[in-house]
Amino acid sequence: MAGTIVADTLTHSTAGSIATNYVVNGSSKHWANITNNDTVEDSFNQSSIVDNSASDCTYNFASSLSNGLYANSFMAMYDLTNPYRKLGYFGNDPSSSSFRTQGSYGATAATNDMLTSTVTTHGDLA
Amino acid sequence: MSTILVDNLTGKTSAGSITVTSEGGAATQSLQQGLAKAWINFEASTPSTRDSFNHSAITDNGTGNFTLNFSSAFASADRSSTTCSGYRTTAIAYEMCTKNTPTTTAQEVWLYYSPNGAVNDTPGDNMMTSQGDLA
Repeated sequence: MAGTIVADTLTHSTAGSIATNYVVNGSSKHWANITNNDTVEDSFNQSSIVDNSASDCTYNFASSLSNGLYANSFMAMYDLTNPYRKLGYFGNDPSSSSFRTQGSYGATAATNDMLTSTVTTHGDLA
Repeated sequence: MSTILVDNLTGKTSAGSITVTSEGGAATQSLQQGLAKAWINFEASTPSTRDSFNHSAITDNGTGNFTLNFSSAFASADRSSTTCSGYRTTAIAYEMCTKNTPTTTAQEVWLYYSPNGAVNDTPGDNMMTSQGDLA
């Protein structure tokens, strides 16, 4: 049987101490690396993605967040020659169970699937 | 209040997996997989590292193009690295994105001016955080 430790603080012999609420609150609750808007290369706490259309993707959490007010950060790669590309929220407001992004590139912000999209979510789990 | 004095945390059933209970108590989650494995704040013109965790030296590949090297390698290049860039003294929008395909030991990035995509070494604060499994 696996053991359970209940503690408020973790102290390392040289690196200092941290209250365990920082460990729980400060850990990311979801991350993913997807390619071409439809293939999950690796992820954590993600049940699935939905390729809604070119550039438009919904990420579904395996375990829900407590609300839709979490902090997401993104990065995208469109191709190997164009430095101008980004991911942003799209469509629906983020919810406790999913969020939706759109990828764009170039000075006109043309929408398209990104070669690679990476996302990370911080917040409280339900 | 209880305090644990410890240098290493290792899972009992599986060494690389320790479970923590969620804030709301409705779920459990892997401690290791939720932790950021690397982060860096660097200045681009020199370039130089302001502060970092699990990053080694920065490689300057040319204007607005840097390789951010990790001290301890990731298990896979399919991690999630996310970024933010800014100019300290002037309200000018910059962004940072992946340039080449990431490797387990490094992430090559481009810095560019948001309105037109021009690559640039100017941004004062450039930040990247990486999530994924370490080797």
